[in-house]
Amino acid sequence: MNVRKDTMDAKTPRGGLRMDHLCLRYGDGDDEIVALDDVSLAVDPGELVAVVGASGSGKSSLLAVAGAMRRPDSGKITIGGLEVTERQAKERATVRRDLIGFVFQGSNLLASLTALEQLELVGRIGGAPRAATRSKALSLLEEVGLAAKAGRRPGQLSGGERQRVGIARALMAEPAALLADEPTSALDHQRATDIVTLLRDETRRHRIATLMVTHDRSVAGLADRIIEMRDGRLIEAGASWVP
Amino acid sequence: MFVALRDLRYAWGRFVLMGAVIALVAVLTVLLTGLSSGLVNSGISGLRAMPLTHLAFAPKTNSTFSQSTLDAAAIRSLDRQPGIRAEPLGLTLFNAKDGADTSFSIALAGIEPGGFMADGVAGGSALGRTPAGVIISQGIAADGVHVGDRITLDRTGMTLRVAGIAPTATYGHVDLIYAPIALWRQATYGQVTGGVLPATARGLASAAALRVQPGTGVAAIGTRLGVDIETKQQAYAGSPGYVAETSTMSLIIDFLYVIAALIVGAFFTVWTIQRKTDIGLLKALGASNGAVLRDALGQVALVMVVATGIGALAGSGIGSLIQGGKIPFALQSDAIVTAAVILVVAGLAGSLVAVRRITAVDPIIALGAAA
Repeated sequence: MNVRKDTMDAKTPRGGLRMDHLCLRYGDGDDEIVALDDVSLAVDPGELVAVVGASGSGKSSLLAVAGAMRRPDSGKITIGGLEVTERQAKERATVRRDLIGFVFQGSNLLASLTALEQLELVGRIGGAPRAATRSKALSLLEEVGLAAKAGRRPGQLSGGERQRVGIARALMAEPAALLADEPTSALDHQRATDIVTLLRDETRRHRIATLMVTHDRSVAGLADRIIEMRDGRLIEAGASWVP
Repeated sequence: MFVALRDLRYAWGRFVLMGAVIALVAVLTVLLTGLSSGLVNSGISGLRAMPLTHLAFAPKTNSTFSQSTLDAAAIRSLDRQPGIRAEPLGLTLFNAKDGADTSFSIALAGIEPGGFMADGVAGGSALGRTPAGVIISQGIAADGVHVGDRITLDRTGMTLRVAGIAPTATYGHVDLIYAPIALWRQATYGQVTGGVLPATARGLASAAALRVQPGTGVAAIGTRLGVDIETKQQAYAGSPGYVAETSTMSLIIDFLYVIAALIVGAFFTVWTIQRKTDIGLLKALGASNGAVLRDALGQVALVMVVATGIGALAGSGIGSLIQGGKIPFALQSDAIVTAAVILVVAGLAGSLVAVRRITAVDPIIALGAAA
């Protein structure tokens, strides 16, 4: 299955990330935990939405469901105009490959790969031609200001640089949605601000719907919209949300 | 193989360590294979070189030359069967002494001069020209016995004269001496009566050497004539110690394959556990289970092939130094290649233990918090 071919309109303003009435529960009986309770959220292309909330509020569950890693108990998820809710595991992998870019906590880069190879890996997974993949990877590294460090491995990069590589990697597959999981957790304030600014700029430049989960309330204000999660529910906090 | 090759380059130290263990197993496997081939050669190379397809033994003798005796009538009956040519074949182990009074063991093979058995032995045409003329194996000649020398058999005191030298051929780990069948009878049965061959021993042989045309129903013929007919390969088992030796060597080599599988399985299980987060990341980025498995198994295959190749070459080098000495050792390329292939397959089989762990990795672990 090639999701990309099915969703050529994914980059249109009608695309983006849309979640309708999502519910997710873990366990049963007295042990039941409601991770997502009737969550609805739409992130438009070019928009950066920050999700904040206390530990256990359901932020990670939201990311797991939006990232096609968990199937919700009910509700609907649409990414780039394509409904992905009921897809089987293999198809969900294809959805992740073709429609979603991930920026992980602590960058989550492979230690054995150089910065350039981290990006090329995405092209390889997608079966893209090598020459085109390399060219695009170099272009993206240039975009995030790391062209000169393309040959360095994660251990030879600073925390901020690693996260920049992570952002460039997330852009490799030209995703309709970008999901960022605590992208600034290991960074000082200045670097955290730089990273979220970069994330916001790339979101706008590439017209991606970006959902960022963060504990770092100081950088959440850089997002276009801030949502607070509490007990599995979303509470719109607005652009001027103050912790 | 994109990630696998880069992991090999990045974590080369642990893969070299792993490869070294596999290479050592390969060295050991090659040496044991050589030893096994050498023991087989030492046990039955003489029988294997004989120009026959089948052997007929007396019934209930476990198809061993030392227990079987066939008379002339039985051999003639076999020879009269359509599609079968039969000749007497005697085979007895003796102690002997050369002209310098040096003792050595021999397997005295009695064959019909001028028959198909003699035609199939290098220099066999010389048999029968002189009553005591024999053809010795090169192994005896290598110890300083030459054409024209005399060899004396213990117990009987019979003297044999060396009439020719054939390529090295052994049976039961001792060198063969080809003698006219009459001389063999004299040596084997004459000792009982003080050198005079008793009338009852005339025409006797240990077995019948057979040349059987394809499609001939030897089993039915054997049943009808009251003899056990076996193929040449089946008759190898009658060589002294043959089954015990080959079974022991096979068992040791098989254990090495199992050990290799366990080593590789353990290594790649630990390796998979260590890179669980990486595997989760690959899946989160959209790599399918199949793609991740191909990458991992490709890595195992590469390590196994390279390490086994190096080990097999090193083992062959060591083996070439051993070969030709007193240790029964024979490097056979087909046996080495087979052993190497089985070793690689065993390693891959062992690595399958890690496969379940790879497929079970949930991409969600790539997310920082449990969801």
